[in-house]
Amino acid sequence: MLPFDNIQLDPEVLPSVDDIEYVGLERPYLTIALLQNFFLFGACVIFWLLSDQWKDADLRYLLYWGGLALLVLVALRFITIYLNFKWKGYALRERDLAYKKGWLFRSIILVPFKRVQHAEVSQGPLARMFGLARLKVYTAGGNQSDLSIPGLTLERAEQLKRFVLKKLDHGEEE
Amino acid sequence: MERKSSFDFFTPQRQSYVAILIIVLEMFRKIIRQIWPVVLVLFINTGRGSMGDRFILLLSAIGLVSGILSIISFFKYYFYVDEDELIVERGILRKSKTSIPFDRIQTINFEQEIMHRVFNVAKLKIDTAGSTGSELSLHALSWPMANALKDHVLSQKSGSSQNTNEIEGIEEQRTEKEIMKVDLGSLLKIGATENHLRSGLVILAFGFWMFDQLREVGLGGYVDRATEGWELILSSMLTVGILASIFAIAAFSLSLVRTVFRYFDLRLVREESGFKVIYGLFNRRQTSAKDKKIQTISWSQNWLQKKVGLYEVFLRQASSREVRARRAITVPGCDRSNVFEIQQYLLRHTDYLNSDDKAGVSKHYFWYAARNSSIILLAAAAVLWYVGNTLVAIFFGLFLIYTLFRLYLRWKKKGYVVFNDAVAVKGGSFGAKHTILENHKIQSIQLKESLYQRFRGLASLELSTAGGTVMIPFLEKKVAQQLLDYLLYRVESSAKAWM
Repeated sequence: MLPFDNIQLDPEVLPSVDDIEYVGLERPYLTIALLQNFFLFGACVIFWLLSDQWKDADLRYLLYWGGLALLVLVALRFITIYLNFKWKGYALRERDLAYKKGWLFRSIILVPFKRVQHAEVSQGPLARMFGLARLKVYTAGGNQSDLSIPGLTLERAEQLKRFVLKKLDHGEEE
Repeated sequence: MERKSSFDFFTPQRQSYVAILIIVLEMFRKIIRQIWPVVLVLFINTGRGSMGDRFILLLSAIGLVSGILSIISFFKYYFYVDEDELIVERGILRKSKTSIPFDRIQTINFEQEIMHRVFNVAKLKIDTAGSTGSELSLHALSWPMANALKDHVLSQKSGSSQNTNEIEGIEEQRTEKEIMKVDLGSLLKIGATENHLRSGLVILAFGFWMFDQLREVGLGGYVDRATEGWELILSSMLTVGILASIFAIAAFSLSLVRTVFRYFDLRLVREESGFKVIYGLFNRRQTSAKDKKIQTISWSQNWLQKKVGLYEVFLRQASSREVRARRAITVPGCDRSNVFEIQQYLLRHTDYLNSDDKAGVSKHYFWYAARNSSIILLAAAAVLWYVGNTLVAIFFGLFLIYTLFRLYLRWKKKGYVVFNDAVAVKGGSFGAKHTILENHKIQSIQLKESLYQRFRGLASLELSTAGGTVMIPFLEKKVAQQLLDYLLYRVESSAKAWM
């Protein structure tokens, strides 16, 4: 192992997080996210339709405004879901895994393979219908430093998991 | 030092007999803590019917049964060592056998409550690398046996695991050096410089909690009668003043008493490749941490402590989130040279303490917080003013000025220093709080941008370690990215194990 501590570093030549090119999530993941919200808002609409206030002429206007507000909310929610989906992405580098998320509150998390404790692939019921899976990568840093990439095809998720675990084994031999 | 060969850990054995007493007492304390309001009611209502008698009978029955059960379970509780595992067998009807490989044992800590001290036994707490619930405690072992067991486990552990550091090779020479010791004088100094506001809040919270409990068991009448006089008292400046001073004195005394109970005869000892801290008046606690387990080093000073030059040092160990607070080694009452010495054992090459220079963070760290608290407090003040509550509105205004001043100081003091092998994050407002983590102990790095930050080209960095997360807020995005690149490079190119 080289004595890295004595190398002079030029920040410009380090591989930059700014240059990472991310791979987007699978399209059906957007459908799943929209569907989940669709159910939620569907419940609201039913509640709205069945409301008692319709009988009361004085209070009916409340329902109209409420319905309008709900509509705007749904529209906004769906737009943010779309933007979030567009923004999310992951990237594999030689020594770490990166995942970016959040369109409004953006964040990028990087986990060096060396620090990975274990990795697993999970599938929710909706995701299974669309053949998608989620890759979870755990470190010793707790929830905050764990990485969870949704919206991968099952094969891709398994492949990434194998890759991460192989890197992990390799790292321990060093 | 006791020879460990005088104990045979390989044959199953029971805990010290004192354990029975301790278990029963512990249970009793738990029960009392749950039902004290009911007991109080019974006392007040004595002589009114046989309901109380029946209740006491029931209580004693429960006590008796659980007492007997704990005695039986004591006799069914065995522990022993098998090759490189610690095994515990227990259970009355359903037998269970727990085996903990030495490799998985993270720390072994001792605790002595007052009963333990009377009989000179110790409670052993064994934490493992697994998730919560995987820790184990032996209620009472004789002091020499507890020590011998710990030595045995630790020596076996370093012998068997493959990825231990080279540093542990020098295990032969058992050196123990006392780094610091708190005598009564400095104990009082620690107590006097505690956060008295917090003590005051504790008193208030306790008062409200007690009222609540009393109301629940139907003693609300007494409480209400007692509070009727309050309005009278609060109407005069003088009585308010007296009340406030009584409250202040109570808070101060509580801080003092709490400190004496908790940190009496505190000793910080340097062992071979680790630290050990022992403290407590009635309940003696001993916590130890190996160097390689320690993930971050912090020291803090509140305003008072800064005036008298006292530091509080925290050594946070690798642990799951749930037990993180319990595993941290806390050493109050250090002076500058103590802090320096502790830090030198862990980070040999650089003098972090004396490096006063730091890179600051963006002024928006102040502006963002200032804007938010101004909006909230001014809105509240305006509403209060409008409804005619002028005095409280003015108070809110003053509080806003104080808040802005505090936020300004917080921004001034926030900063970071990047060394070859570590990052130091500085902070504090009226006091100071510094944290150092070694680069190779970083688990993952997160770059975050809120909407506010994005429009101004800023970002925050979060560095996660196995001992907690450290945040460097409101950096120029370019700088944050470079710092991230640099730290990732350090982690990925380092051959050192994080633990």
